[in-house]
Amino acid sequence: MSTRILEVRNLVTSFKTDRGIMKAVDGVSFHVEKGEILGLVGESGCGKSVTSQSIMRLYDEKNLVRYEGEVLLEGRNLMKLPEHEMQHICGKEIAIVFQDSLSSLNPVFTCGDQIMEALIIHQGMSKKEAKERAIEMLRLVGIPSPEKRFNQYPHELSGGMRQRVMIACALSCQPKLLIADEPTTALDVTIQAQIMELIVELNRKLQMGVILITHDLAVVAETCNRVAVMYLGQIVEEADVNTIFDNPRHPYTMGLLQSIPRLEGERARRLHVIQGTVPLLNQIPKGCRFRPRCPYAADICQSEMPELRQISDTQFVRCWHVEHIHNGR
Amino acid sequence: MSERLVTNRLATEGHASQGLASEIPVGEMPMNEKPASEKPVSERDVVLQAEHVKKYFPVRGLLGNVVGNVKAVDDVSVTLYRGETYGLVGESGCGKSTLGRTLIKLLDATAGRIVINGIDITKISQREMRTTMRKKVQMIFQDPYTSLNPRMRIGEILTEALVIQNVGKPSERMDMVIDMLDKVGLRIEHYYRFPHELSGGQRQRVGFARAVILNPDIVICDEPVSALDVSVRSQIINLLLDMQEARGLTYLFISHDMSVIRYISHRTGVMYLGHIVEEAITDELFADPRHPYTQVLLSAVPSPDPHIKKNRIILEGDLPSPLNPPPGCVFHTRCPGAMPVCKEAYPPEIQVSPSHKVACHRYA
Amino acid sequence: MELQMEQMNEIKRALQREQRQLMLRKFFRNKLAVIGSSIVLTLVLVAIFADVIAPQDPLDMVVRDRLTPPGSKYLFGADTFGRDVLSRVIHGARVSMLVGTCVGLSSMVFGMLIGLYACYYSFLDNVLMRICDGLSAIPSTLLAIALMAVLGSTATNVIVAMSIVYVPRMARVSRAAAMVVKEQTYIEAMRATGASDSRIIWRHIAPNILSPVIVQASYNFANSIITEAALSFLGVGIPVPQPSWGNILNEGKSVITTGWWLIVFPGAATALAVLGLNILGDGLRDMLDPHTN
Repeated sequence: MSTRILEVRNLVTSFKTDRGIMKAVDGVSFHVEKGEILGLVGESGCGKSVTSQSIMRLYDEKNLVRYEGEVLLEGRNLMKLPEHEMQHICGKEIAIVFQDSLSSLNPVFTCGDQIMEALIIHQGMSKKEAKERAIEMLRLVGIPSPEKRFNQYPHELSGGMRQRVMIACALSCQPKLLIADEPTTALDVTIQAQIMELIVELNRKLQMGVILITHDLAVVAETCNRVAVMYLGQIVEEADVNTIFDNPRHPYTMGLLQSIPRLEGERARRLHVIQGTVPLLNQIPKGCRFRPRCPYAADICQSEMPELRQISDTQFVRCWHVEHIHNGR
Repeated sequence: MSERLVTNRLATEGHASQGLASEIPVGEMPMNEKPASEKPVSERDVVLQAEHVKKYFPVRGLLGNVVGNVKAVDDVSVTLYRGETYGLVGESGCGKSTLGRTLIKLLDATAGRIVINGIDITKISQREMRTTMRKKVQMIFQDPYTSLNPRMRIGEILTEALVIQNVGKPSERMDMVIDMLDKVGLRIEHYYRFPHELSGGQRQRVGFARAVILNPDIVICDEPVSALDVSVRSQIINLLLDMQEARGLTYLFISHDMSVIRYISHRTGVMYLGHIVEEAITDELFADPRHPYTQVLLSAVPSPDPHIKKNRIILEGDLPSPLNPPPGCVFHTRCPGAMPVCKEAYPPEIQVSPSHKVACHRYA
Repeated sequence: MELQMEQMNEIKRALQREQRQLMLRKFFRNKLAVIGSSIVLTLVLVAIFADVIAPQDPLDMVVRDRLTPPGSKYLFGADTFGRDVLSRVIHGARVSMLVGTCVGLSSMVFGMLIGLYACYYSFLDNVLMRICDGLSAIPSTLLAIALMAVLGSTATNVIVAMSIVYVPRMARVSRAAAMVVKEQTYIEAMRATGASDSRIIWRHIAPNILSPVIVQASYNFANSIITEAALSFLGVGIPVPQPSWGNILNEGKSVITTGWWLIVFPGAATALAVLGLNILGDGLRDMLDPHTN
């Protein structure tokens, strides 16, 4: 229990919009262990990014959004903390890396300034100490000649370098938990490989927990220890990485795995297709949320929502037919 | 009826493949025609032949004088055969999109010859291109959100293409459009919808319908599935394949995604800094990559199988600026096996097999 | 096929119905648009039916009633010649609305024309935009006065002069908006389809720059009312006996200490019209955005 860094219990995030209240995240529970990389996978609109930003309470709570449930960071419930204490936790104990490194870095400050800022605010370092530490961080994330890069502005760096600076920023205060929200989606494959390698290496070295949010199952297969697959605000399947890829039990996970073109093996004539499209949040179907797109849908799926059930030591599935669908391929 | 149609705003994409499946029973499709690239060379029907195409963008100084050239495409030759898919793969900034646009004269080539259906389009004016050639070469774009005019209805967008190329009588056009919507897996009620009312996948279907409704020979597909979700991506890829079989289309498929390229294309060219460095039949390229850059690229692609542990070749440094490309082989600054000769001369194109070309000194 | 046509028509009708309802709902939910348009609509109606509404002939002088304060006989009082100020303000609305509409429309048409072509053809860009820069460099009232001095003061010339003043601003706004639209992929898609330049400009770029253009047009409308008032106030605008808000102010300035109503009422009318138009402009901008449903 002591190694459990983050535990999320029944998290619900609802937004007030013109069209009524929309639950972008609806009853999500998971945990992250020390030194572990948890993959949060899903298509756009599944609530994976909202989940991560809810953990840090990044949305404006005064009018737009409501959180329910508990987020325990080493036993402390973040949902109950007053806002100013929360600000201290963001960046210091939980850090986040976004997809778009160009708009996440402030263009009028040098890379070094931006890393130093966090150190001065959160760790109360002097300018000189902060500078030394910032250069050390830049070296840690594999940026060549960090003394030179320290004085450069974000636009002077390539996309991959900027993402490294972002990671250096995030890691500067030695957070216990790093949330990487699609960190490589905007990058080329060769750069992606470098960045993912860096995240894995730092995760081992620093023994922090990592939540990797992505839509790319291949990236998950290569980096994560455990995987949670999300669909329309819920986790539909959770298991360790080998089980998810070898023995997926939820029809959505199976469909996703079958519909990606692969580099190895036979080339099929046609790709597998998951019917339909992800519905909008105000058109969530009753019963099982995947029912309209599910090839195994039956009457019960329409009337009642299945619970996330444990079917083995490591595997949880939200489906009525787990027993019948055995590796549906 | 109408109420239901109106309220049910987001049509399920799945109907698409169902609708298509009834149209083209793919499983039973007589596969008597082999893809062009697998036929012997003499039988192939060339639709597009580009020779030594260059596209430079001049960089102007303060006084408007040209101070340099961005060599986006530098001496590229490529041939497209009827009915095949040519995959063009490379990382951002390698010039693949510029090449695609230059081949259909959306950009004027700086030098070289581009022959489509026997006509050298570098010699004709944009006006001639519009009236005679545009119908034959179409394009679909990466971003489904900006490639459709937000103030036009779907029906108008497709009709517009027919009006511009003067296809069909005005009274027939609506039927043609409805027919096309059905073929790409959209429904009749999408006719009066605006683009923002459609999902990304549905918009990409509209973009594809706009290209195909003119019955072109060649469709340039510029990263058509990169912006789409995994489950929708396979729907669109299947749609492209079905349409190719039904209409004998030729695709130039531009992508940065090796897995998609491997899946969809018959032949593949790998681009780096304005050059095609390797070209082969797709299976051959993936099984036996020769150029060091292709090898790096392939080793970097993550595999959706946790048991496969790849031996990564990590690429040093950044992509050099196309404003000032390195002399000799453009890849020598980052090549793990660079030799002295690589710094001096651009490597000759070497035929390693009848269907496999590579530009690398190693094989000279 | 017959069935298909029928089905299409049914869908079309249902959609049009829905669209109408949506537009109406959007309009009434948009408080700015409602307030702005009711003010402007009222003023337009007043201008059109001035002859019917006005209690007296605006040119009718009753010398013994000169400078009567507002009261039961003259609601807004009487001016130095004993003319009814209320009737003069009502008739003045006619001039202001006419000038505003004409200047608003003509600056929109010519401004868009210049802006669109300057954006699309780079060789025109420099020429047209430098001319516009030159015109914008002169303060607008000064330019208008100079033009009036050249053209002579008639109502038509006021409109011509002010159009010339406001076209450069509109050209700038539409060029800037068109520059953004021009880079969108759907414009490239139309080029790939083989659309001619003029078709791209008018059918694909123009509709997509309407939002900022209409907002600018409503500001031009409002500003031209002020400028017209200023010109008339300075005596180079609408020829004298004809009432316009500026004329009334001009005549009132000499008796400002005794006849405050000569200043307050036309001034308030001008302010109201400008306010209404600006509010309407903002409301329209929100409404015209197809994404806010």
